[in-house]
Amino acid sequence: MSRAHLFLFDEAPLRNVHALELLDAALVAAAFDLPTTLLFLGDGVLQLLPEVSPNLSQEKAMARQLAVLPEYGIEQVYACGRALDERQLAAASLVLSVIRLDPAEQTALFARQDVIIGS
Amino acid sequence: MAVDPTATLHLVFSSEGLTQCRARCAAGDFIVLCENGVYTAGRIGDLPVPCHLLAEDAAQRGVDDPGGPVTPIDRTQLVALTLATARSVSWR
Repeated sequence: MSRAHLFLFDEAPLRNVHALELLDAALVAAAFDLPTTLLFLGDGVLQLLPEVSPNLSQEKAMARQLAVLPEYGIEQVYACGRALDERQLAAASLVLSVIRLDPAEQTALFARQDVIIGS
Repeated sequence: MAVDPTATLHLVFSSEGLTQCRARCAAGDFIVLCENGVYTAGRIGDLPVPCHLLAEDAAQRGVDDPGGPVTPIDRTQLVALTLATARSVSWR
């Protein structure tokens, strides 16, 4: 039985390690061949920006780790379209291509999951 | 409590969490205000789904029973809701 797992990223980068740990959990789920989906919403969409000056901070941003998603078979990466627009983030400025969802589409995405894990 | 087995249980832990949850809950779902989420109970306004608050967390924070659409539940009822719904999502 393959239970569908959705990982919700809603925290801004560099704030704490929650998002990095959540990404680790998502990679583990994918490594065990569980259907794995990521959704970035709220300030979490800022995780999708490139890491400009990593050495200026002790904290690690997630951008580099996100590059390995396809290797783990995670192809379904979604972001809240409204959150991207509110922060004026264009698709071209993100480190990977994401599928935009409005809140109603996110509700439908939730309904297809067996497990939803947030930070 | 009559519960739709395909429903989602939304656990709301903050004011920001309530905003996120409000835009994404669907008919048949349930919302439970937990921990600091109970502070939002008095100004929750109209919601499309039933909303409860965890009585223990509300009492700890001195939040009186807000009445209106928000009904208090205890931990046993929260466990019953988690068993009766298909999945839960935490909004922090």
